[in-house]
Amino acid sequence: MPDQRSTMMGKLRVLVVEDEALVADYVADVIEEAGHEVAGFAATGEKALEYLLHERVDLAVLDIKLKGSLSGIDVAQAARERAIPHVFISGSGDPSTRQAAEATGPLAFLQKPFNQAKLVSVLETVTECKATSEPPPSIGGEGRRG
Amino acid sequence: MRILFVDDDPDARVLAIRAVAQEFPNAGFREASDLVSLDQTLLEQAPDILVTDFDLRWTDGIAIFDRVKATNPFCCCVMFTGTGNEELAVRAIKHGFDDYVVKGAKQLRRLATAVRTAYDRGRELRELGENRDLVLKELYHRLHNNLQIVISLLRMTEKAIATQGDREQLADLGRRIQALSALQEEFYRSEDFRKVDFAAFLQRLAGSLTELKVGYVRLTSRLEAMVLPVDLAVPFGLIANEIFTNSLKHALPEGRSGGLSVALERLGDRAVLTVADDGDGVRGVDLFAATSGLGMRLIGRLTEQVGGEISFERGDTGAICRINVPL
Repeated sequence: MPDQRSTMMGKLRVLVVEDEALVADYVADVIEEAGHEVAGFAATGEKALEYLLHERVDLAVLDIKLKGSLSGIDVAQAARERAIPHVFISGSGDPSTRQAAEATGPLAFLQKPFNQAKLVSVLETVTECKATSEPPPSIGGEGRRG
Repeated sequence: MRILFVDDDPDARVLAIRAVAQEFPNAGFREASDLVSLDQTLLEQAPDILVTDFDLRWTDGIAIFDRVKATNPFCCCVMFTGTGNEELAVRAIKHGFDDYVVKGAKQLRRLATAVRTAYDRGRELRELGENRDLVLKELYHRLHNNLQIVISLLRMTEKAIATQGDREQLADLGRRIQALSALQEEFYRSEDFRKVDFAAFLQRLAGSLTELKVGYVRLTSRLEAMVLPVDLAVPFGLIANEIFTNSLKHALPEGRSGGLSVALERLGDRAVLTVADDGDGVRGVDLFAATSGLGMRLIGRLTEQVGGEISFERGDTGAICRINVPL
């Protein structure tokens, strides 16, 4: 039961949904340095949905504007239906976009360029919640405060 | 589209509506001849166009203008009056009316043209405003994405570099870019791209730098509300970033817990930022006083740029850095 063991060890499988390759790599770096693993990379919403359907994903890190017809907010809704927690990392400062994103119940909304400590803090929250089988708290607004 | 006619004389309203309807056959026409009917129609829906007489038994055209504009600031307003003269025409235009037409049988065609021209000009302005908002949103998004790419590139470079000292320099550069980006966000939030809520920026900056640090930092802040112009906020913000970073790095080295207090206040015509740590005061002061180091050089140059003064002193529990800049 490899999945269970890795959960017990607190290692998360994180899906990185981001269409800028360099940013995706940076996000992956932060995830791996924090001791977790990248479940996959998706530059489009369609590809992200495939991962959510077929792979074990403990957390989805989502950009909002993506290549293709689906946005990160669409992916967030799909993740939510499958009880997979998600966090947004976006360059959008538009209040209506942010409102729509927050309505999906993310763990945080991180503004680009994001503070890596905040992402690490989200990873810690999800790890703790997995260990205690509690649903992670969704956070609107500014994201987690250290 | 809704067009409102305000006139005491019902025949004048009918004639005006008939004339304007030739230009706007599909518009909804409303009439008002007293305060009650005016308020009722404004309550239903704000008009897109107003045609009003000046001399009314119950008020005047200027007051009507103010009432209508309060419900729709983009409403096009044309004064259509028989009692007017040059002086009134000037007053109406100065007050914000789009046009002024003198009543008369031969003037009805002119009224229709004036309303059409004013409406089209208003629409262009509205569309320009909407386009500007779209461009601003797109620029904001692009800017933040590009800053994120810069940070990602820095991180990659940092990892490819072998020496610890060089890595730290790059990490500092990353923090400087983050500080600029946080300022940018405050500019966007203020909706006036020339001013920034500096207290909100400092709170955000100190919070994010503290989070980056290993070890617990007790952050206390006392920040007086202060809106600063961009040409002051950017250098002052970068100075604050250097001071915070310096305190966190040297007075509270990695793993060591301690307190950092930040205060911003207005003293006369100057803004004063005070940063105090409860680390090793002697060491802190010595480090600040050292003239070498990029951080210190940046603080010096930027302080000079804004005509500010900076001082370092030894407090009871640690180092205190105080910078004041003219507002």
